[in-house]
Amino acid sequence: MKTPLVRLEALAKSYASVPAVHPLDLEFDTGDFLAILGPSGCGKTTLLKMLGGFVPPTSGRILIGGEDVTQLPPERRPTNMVFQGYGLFPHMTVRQNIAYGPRIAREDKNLLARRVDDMLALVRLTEFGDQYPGALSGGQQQRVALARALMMRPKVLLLDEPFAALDLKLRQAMQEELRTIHKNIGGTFVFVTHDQAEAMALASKVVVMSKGRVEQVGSGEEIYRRPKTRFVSQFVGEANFFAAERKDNRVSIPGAFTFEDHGPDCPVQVGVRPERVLLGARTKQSVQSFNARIIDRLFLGAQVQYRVALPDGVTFLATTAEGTLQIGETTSVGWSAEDQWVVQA
Amino acid sequence: MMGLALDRRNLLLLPALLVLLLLFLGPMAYFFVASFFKVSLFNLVPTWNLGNYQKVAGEYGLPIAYTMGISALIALIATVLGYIVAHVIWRNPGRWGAFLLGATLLTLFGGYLVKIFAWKTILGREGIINNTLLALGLADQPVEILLYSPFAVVLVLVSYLLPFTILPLYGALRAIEPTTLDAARDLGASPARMLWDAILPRCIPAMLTAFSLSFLVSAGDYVTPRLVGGTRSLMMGNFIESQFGLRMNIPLGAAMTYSTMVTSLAIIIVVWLVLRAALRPK
Repeated sequence: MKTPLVRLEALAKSYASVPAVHPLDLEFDTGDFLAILGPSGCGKTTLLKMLGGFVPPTSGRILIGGEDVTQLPPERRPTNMVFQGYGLFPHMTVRQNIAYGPRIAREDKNLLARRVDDMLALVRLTEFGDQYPGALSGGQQQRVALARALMMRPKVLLLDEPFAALDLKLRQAMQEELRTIHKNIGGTFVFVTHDQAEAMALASKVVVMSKGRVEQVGSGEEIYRRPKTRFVSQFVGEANFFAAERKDNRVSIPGAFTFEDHGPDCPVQVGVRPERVLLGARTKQSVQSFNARIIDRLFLGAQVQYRVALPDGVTFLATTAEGTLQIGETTSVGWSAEDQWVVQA
Repeated sequence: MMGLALDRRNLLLLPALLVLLLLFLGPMAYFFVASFFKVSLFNLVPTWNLGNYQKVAGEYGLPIAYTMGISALIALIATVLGYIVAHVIWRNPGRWGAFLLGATLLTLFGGYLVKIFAWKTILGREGIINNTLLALGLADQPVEILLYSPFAVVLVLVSYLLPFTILPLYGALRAIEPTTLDAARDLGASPARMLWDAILPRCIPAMLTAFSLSFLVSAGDYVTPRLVGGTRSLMMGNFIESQFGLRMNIPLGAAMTYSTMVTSLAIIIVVWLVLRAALRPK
C-alpha cells in the first residue's frame, strides 16, 4: 500500500490544559487541494500551524512523505506557509522577498535570478520586482507572499485564511488565480478558511472542523449533499431539520411521510436544503410529498423564499425560482429521497 | 519654505523655534566664532586666526582619541546590552517583559548624581564590594582598581545610559510584525539568521539613535570622570570644562568643543555606514 504524503496520527494541542485540537487522524495525498473549514475558534489555524511547525503539538505525530517531522522546527520542514497578513519583509524589495529562502539556502545566483523572473511572471508581478511591499496593494502583497512560498518548492503549501483581508471582487480573482496555479504547477495545497463557498470552490477535499474536532472529510459536494452531522449541515449551507423517529429501519416524519433508512431505533433528524424542497405541481410521483400551508413569502430577487408550516406547527423554508404561491395557500410539498439526509438527533 | 512660513498654523511653532534659537543655536554660533579668536589678559580679542585649532591638534590629539575610544566603547556596550534587554522585553510580553520595562522606566526617576554616588558606595575603598571581598578573605587589601579608573567610568556611564538605549530599541522592535519572523523561519532561516535578516535591519535607526545618544553623552561628560575616574583620566569634557572655568580661555575651549563635536559626528557617520552595509538585504 502506498503511504500518503501527509499523515496526522492522533495529533492534539492543548493550551494550559484547555484543548484547542482534540486528537485527530487525517491523511491526504500529493496533488490534493485541501480546505480546513470551520468557524473561528474551531482549531483550524492551530492545526495548520502544527503542520508548519509553529505550534508544537501536545501529543500525536505528523508524517510528511513517511518521515516524522513532529519535532522539526519550521525551517527544516518540507512545508511553506502563506501567512494571514502575509508577513512580507518590509525592508526588502519584492525580488529580495521572493529570493530570500533560496538565497539563504545558497542557491546558485544565476539560476535563482531566472527562477525569480519566472515566479514574478507566474504571479503577474514582473514590473513590481524592485518595489517595496509597502507600495503594493493587498492583492499584490498576497501574490508576493504566495510567490515567496512557492519558490521553496514545498511538498505542502500551507495558506492561512489567504483571502480574508481582500474585498469580494479581488478575493474571487485570487481564488481563480490560485486554482490556476495549482493546476499548472501541481503540488499539494492546504488552506484554512471560514468561508464555505471558498472551500467548495477551491478544494478537492474539505475537512470540516468544529470545537477542535473533525466533523467530516469529503469533497465539497459530499459535505454539502451528505453532511454527517447537524453542525456540518448548517455550516456549509442552509438546512431544514425535521424531528423524526426511526423504527425497524423506517424513519417517519410526523405530518409528512416515512421512508426507508437503515440504523438503530432512535430519534433522528431529517435534513433537506431549502432549494431542494419542491412546491405545488413540481412534486411529482417520484417525490415524497405531503400537504402544507404557506405562512410567509419573501421575495429575494433571483429567488422567492417561502416559510411552510406542517399541520403540527413545525415550519421550514423552501426557496424556488418561481413565486406564484401566496400566503395562506395549502399546497403539495416534497423532495426526492436523494436530497435528504439523516443525522443523530 | 515660503508657504510654510506664511501658514498661520505654523505660528504656533514660533515660541519653540525662539527658544531653540536663543538657547541653542545662538550660543553655538557665538562659540563657533569665538573659536577663531584670541584671549589676552582674560579678555576676548577678535583677531581671526587658527591658533586654537593648531593647539588642539598639537596638544589634545591623545585626549580626543582617548575620549572617542572610551565613548565608543561605552556606547557599544550600552547599545548591545540595551538591545538584549529590549529583545527580552519584546519577546516576553507577559510578566518578565513588563517587569523589565517597569524597572527600566523606574531607573529614569533616579538622578544622575545620585547614581554616581551610589556607584561610589558600591565600588569605593570602603565600599560594598571591597568590604565583602575582605570579609570573605578573597582579597588581602581593598581593590583600588574598582574606583578611580577607566573601568569605573565605563561601568557608571553604561549603567546610567542603559535606559536611553533600551527604550528606542524596544520601540523599534515593537513595530516588527511577528508574522515576518515566522515567515523567515518558514523560509529556512535559523533563529540566528532570522535575527540578522528580519530583526536587526529593522532596528538600524534605533541602533544608531541608541549609539549616538550614549556616545555623545559619554564624549561630553565631565562629571563622571571627575567623580569616579580619578585624575589619570584623559576625558575631553574635563579639559573643555577647565578652559571655560579655571583657565577662562573661551576660544581654546570652543575650539576643543568643535574639534570633539566634528570627530564625534564623523564616528557616528562611520557607525551608520557600517551598520547599513552590514545589514543591507542582498
